[in-house]
Amino acid sequence: MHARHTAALLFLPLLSLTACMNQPSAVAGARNVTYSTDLSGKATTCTVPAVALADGKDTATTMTTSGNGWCGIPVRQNDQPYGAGLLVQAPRNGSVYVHLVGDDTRVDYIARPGTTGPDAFAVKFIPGDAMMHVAVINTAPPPAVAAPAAAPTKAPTRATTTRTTTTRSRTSK
Amino acid sequence: MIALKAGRALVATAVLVGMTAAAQARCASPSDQEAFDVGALKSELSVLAVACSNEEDYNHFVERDRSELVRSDGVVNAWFKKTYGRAAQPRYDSYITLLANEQGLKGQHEGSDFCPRQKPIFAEAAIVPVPQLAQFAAVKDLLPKDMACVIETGAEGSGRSTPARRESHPTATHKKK
Repeated sequence: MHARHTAALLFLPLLSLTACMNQPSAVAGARNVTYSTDLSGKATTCTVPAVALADGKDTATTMTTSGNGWCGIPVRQNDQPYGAGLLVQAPRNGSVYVHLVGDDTRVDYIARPGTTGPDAFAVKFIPGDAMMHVAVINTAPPPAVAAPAAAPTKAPTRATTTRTTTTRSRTSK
Repeated sequence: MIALKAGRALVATAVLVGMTAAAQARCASPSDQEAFDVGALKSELSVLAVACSNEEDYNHFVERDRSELVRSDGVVNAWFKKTYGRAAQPRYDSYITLLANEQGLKGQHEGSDFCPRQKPIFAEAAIVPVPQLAQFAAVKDLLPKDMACVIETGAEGSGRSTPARRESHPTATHKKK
């Protein structure tokens, strides 16, 4: 306990400094704030159908993801986020993160880097014990788009000036 | 003689550990994984309590879930004893400190959003039935990757480690080059 608290205390001044440096990133507009942290890092491909869960019922759904970030399924209970999520079946090749994002409970699947192929997981939500089974297909991430080649530029020309010379002729006496 | 045989067995699995290490991120035993998850939850809430002045919420959590926290702590300690023998305590202390550090670093990245964004976890934990605490901890992204059941092969605190092989005895080790 002591070691843990000491470690945590070390971060208090750092957190304070960071708070000064970072502008608030919350995106308002719903009953609950949506934080930009929860919107960044999404997988390039993340295809999930809309899911409607029911208390005490088991719902199966699918997810196709490119595995280079999180892929999330938003769910609600009576237009509200759930109280909490419980992992019933762990994925073999990734992890699951259930958290509050705005007015949704969002279930994120994060594939282990380099994973391709099928995976599956199941989450139970409380209160109400709605269950969601997700069959995942991990695809290879799309190839990175190469930056366009820079257009050739002409070498800058030096500014020229025109000189006028006047010649004098000598006259002999 | 027993130690020699065990040593040969460890060496024999070393190559396989190396081959499968990249795919491993969980404990060999599901009950070990659950215990590590609960320990990580306790650590996370402890970090939040200090960083975000949520001591009262943390104390409620510890009181309410004491039986499960003590049980899980016992499983984690048993894993360290089984893995490190007499070096178990300093290894365990090092792991706990590293875990809190990693969880605190996450807070740095989130800046001023950290406390309000993370605070709901206390309310969530409060409605989870005590026997299901591990299932809740498993969906909160609390363990930095490959920290559960990771075997330190270097000197204590050196940071050199290798994940435990899923199918083999958790004391298998692999010397990193």
